[in-house]
Amino acid sequence: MSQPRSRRTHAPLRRAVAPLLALVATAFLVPAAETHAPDPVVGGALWTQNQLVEYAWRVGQVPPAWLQGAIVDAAADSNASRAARAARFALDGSSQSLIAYGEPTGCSPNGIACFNRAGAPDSFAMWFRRQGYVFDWGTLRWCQAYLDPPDGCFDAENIALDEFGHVEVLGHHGNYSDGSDFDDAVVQTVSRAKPRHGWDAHRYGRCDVATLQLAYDVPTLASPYSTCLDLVTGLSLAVSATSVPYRATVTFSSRLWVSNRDDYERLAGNPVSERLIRLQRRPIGGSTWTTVATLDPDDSPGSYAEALSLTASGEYRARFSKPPDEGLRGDDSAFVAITVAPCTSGCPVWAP
Amino acid sequence: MSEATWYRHFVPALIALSLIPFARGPGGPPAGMPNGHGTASGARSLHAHLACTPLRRGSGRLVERVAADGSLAGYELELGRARRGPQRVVELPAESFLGDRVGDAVLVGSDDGLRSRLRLVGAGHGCERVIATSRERIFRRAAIDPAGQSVVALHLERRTRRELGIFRRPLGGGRWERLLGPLADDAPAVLARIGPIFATILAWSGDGATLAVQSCGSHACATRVVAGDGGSKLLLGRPGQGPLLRVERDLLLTLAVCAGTPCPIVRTRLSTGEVLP
Repeated sequence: MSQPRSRRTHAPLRRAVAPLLALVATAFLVPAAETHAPDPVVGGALWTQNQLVEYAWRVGQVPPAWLQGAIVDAAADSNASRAARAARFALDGSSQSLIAYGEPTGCSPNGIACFNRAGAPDSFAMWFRRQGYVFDWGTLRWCQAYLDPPDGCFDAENIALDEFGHVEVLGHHGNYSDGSDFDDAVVQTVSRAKPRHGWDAHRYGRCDVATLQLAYDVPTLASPYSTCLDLVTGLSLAVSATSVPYRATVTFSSRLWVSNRDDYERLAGNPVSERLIRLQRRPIGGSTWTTVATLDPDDSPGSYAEALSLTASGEYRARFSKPPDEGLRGDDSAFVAITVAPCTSGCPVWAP
Repeated sequence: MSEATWYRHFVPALIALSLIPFARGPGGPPAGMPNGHGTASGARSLHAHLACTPLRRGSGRLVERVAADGSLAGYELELGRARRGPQRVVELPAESFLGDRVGDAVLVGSDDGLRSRLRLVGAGHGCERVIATSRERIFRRAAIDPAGQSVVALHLERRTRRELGIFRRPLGGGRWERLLGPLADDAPAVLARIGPIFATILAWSGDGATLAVQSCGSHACATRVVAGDGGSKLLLGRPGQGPLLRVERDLLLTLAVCAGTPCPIVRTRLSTGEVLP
C-alpha cells in the first residue's frame, strides 16, 4: 500500500486518516490475549521527564461541570499513581492542549472517548462523547451525570485516566482471556461499566506503571519497580583487602543495578538504592552460605557497604533476594575469598 | 457461520467491485457529505416527484441539540447552505443518522423510542418521503443502492437492541428481505473477539453488485461482504481491522486499529482475504 499515493488522490482518505484515535468503550467481553506484560506503547514522541503538561477546555465544546470535575480528578490520579517520571497534568485555561466534549470530533464512531498525542511533547487533545449518544448497543451514560449512577454507566474519571494514560504513551493492555488480570491496567481496550469489577479504578495498574517506568524512568533510584516488570539485576562485591591479620577490619562494598539491556529502555543500567543487601559467608571450599551482615546503603547511588572485623578465613558474597513487592530479580555477586592470619596474641581462650 | 464457511461460499462474482462512494460513518453526525448517488437513473426517478429545492453547497449535516445538563437531546438536520444559514432544518431525535444523498434529498433514519422511520428529506416544502416505518424494529443504519432502486437497513429488535440482520426492500415499497443474518449467527467467534457492536457501516460498491457491512466493536471491526442479490458472502474478520473507508474494485480499504498515531490504511483483497502489505 502506498499511503502517500492515497493521500494525493483521495482527499476524503486524508481526512479520515488524520484523526488519531484511541478507543475506549463499554463491553461485556474482554479481548483474548495470552501475554501478560507491560502495556504496549502508542506512537509519537515522549514528553520530557516530569514535564508539566497543562490542558484547557476547548471553546464551544466545554465539558459540563460534572465531567470537568471527573477529568480534573483523573489528571490528579495520573499524577499520583504514575510512579514514574512521566508527564504531570494540570488544568490551565491558556493551554494549547484541549479537552472537548461532544461534536465535532475526529474520533471514529466506536469510542466513548479518544485522544490525540501527535503534538507531544508540546500538546495533546482529548475528547469525550456526549451523554446520551446512541450506539448500536444502546445509549451512553456517564456515571457523573447522575446523583445516583445507574448500572451500565461509565465512570468518567476512570475513562479520563485511561485517556491520560494514552496521552502519556500507553497502549491498551493485553489481558488474559478470562480477564483475571483486569486490575493490572486502567488503560484497557474495553473499559468496564458499573458495576463490573474495575469500573471505577482511579489509579494506574501495575502494568500501566511498568510501561511508564520503561519509558520515563522511576522517580528516584530508591523507588520500587512495578511488579509487572521482571528485571534482571546485577550485583557486585568488592573488599578492601583479601589477606588480613587476625581481627583486622575489612570493608565490604557492593553495588546493585538493573541489567543494562536494550529492552529495559530508560531503566537499563539504573543503580538500585535503598534495598536489602545481605553479606553471606562460607568456609573456604564450603557449600553452605550463612548471612553474617546486612550491607548498609552508601551515599553513592546503588551502593552498599559494611565493615567487619574478621577472625577466620572465608568466602564472601553479596545477596539480593527478589523482593516480593517489586519487579526485580534477585542476584548473587561473585564470591571473594579472604584469608585471615592465625591469631598470635590476645587470642580467645576456650574453656575446656 | 464460521469464517472458513464464509470463504467457501465466496464466489468470484464478488471480485468485480468498483469504486464506491465514501462510506458513511455510522452513528452521530457524519464527518463527510452524503455520497451522491443522485446521478443514477433510479435515483432520479425516485426523486422526480419530490418537490425539492436544489441543495446548495453540500447536502446535509447533523448538528447536536444539547439539553441544559449537557446531554444529547437530539440533532438538527441542516440541509444545504444558503446565505443566512441552512436551506432547511429538521429536528431529529438522539437516535438518528444521515445516509446517502439521492438527487436533492438525503436519506435520514430516526427513532424516537417508539417508532423508527427511514425518510428521504430535502430542502423545500414537500420534499419529504417516508420510505419505511416500524414500531417493532429499529432501523439503525441504512443505505440506498447506487441505482436508487432499493434500500438496505440494519434492523435491531427494539426491546433488546439485538441485531436481526441486514434487510433489503425496494424504495417504492414491499417486503423486507433479509440479505444477511446477525453477526452473532454468521460469525460468533468474531463477535466474541470484537465485543458488543458500537457502530455498523454500510457501503455499496459503485456498480451495486456488492454491499459491505462492517460491524465495529469498541476497538476492532469485521466486515461482511455480500452480493447485492444476497447470493454470495465473504467475511473479513481478521484482527486489526479498523473502520471501513470504501470498497475499491477487489479491495476493501479500512483503517488499521491504532491509537495515538495516524492510522494506516489497510487494503484487503476481497478475492482471497489477503491483507496486502
